[in-house]
Amino acid sequence: MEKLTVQICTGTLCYIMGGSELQLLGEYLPETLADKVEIRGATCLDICNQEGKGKAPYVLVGDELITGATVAKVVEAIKQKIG
Amino acid sequence: MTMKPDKETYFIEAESSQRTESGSFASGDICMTRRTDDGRTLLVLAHGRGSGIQAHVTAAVVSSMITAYALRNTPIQQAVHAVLNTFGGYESTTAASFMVAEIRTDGGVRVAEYGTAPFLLFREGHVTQESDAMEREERTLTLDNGEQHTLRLSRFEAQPEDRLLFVTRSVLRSGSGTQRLPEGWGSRGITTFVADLLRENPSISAREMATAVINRAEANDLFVVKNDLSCMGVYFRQPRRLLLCSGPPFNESNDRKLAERVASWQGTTVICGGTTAAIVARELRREISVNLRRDISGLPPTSSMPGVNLITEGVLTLARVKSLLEQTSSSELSGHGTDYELTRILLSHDCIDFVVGTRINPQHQDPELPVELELRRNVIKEIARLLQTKFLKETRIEYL
Repeated sequence: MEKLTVQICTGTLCYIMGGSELQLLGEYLPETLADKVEIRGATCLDICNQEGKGKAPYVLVGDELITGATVAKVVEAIKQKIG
Repeated sequence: MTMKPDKETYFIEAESSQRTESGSFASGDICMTRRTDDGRTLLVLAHGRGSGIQAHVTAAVVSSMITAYALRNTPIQQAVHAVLNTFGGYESTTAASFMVAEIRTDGGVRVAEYGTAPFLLFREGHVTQESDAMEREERTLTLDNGEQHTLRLSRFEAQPEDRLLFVTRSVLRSGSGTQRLPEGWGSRGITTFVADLLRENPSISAREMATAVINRAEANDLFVVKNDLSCMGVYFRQPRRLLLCSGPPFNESNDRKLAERVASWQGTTVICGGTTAAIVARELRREISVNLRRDISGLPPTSSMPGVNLITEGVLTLARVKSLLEQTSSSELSGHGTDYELTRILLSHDCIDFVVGTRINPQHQDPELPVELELRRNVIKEIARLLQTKFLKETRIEYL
């Protein structure tokens, strides 16, 4: 099965808006999900420049954009995707 | 092979290393380096009589006086005349010995020495004797009170890879009285030491060389320094070049130009900024990967891309680098983290080109952000100013 890609934005804005915590996502993932997910960093997803996209920090779970992302929100989204 | 008059070809690295007499908290020596607006490099090494605060103050005033005269292109005799009239010569309690060197961009070097140990010129790994390619003369100055003093003047054309070494007499005397070096290290000892150093590592930097000399002098004194030790080194070398790109270009049409600057650069390349790195990766079709790990500095993670030496986040990292450059007094930095790493890269290069994209992310100006984000342009301008004035680097800023 192909892994679900999670992209965490590490750009300046995302980082100061709470993105620094998201780097620890790997440690918070339940074991059942850990091997089904590939966590990657992105230099900047360039979403903060687009109007009306919500608040930073941003994470892409597959093709779904999570705004105002927290570890809990992202884990939830991953669970929904994988089921 | 003579030195080309082109400033681009060779870089003049001038660095110093010092150690203060054990038990004293102020050095009686002052090492000063300045680069003038017309590109001359000035070096002054002054040693105040005795040690401690009085010596320090004398040396500081003497070196400032000489630098002020030299900056205005005043003949050196006039400067020395003024200094000796003010402070008196050898016999005076406020006497100071000093040397001043002026290096022009075309490689012309002039040195004036008063009471110091003669400087050493190393060419092709060996010390150059007086007769070879160097004009030396002694000039007698008569002061207002009739006293006569002798000034040693030298002049020569520097060649690429030449090295100059200026040390205080205390360095030559280091170790005297010990069993190993009863007569002190002496100029023969130091010459052999430096020649060995150059044989082992022909491209050693002026800073490393000055540090090695002082470390050895300290060891000669069995680690209880008997007198203030100072050494200044100069290295005429092929410049180490660095390109630092930060910020997306104002017009997207310049994205390609930015990427090409990175691709065609001969030397070290650094990118500061996530968007900037993404633009370069896209234009050059190179893979970029973020090193997802917590950095000790608390700054966002670095990334990697083939052909680029370091990729960091932008303004937060640069602001930290700026304060590190402001705080440090030496170019030796021992900390860890992305900010230290980038600062070390800056300090280990001679010619630094900044390419600054001026497009602003409006979100960065949101007053509700928890951290104040400085304007990239201003941070980089300040970093370049510090590198140029405090660390004698050659810097250029280009805006895209």
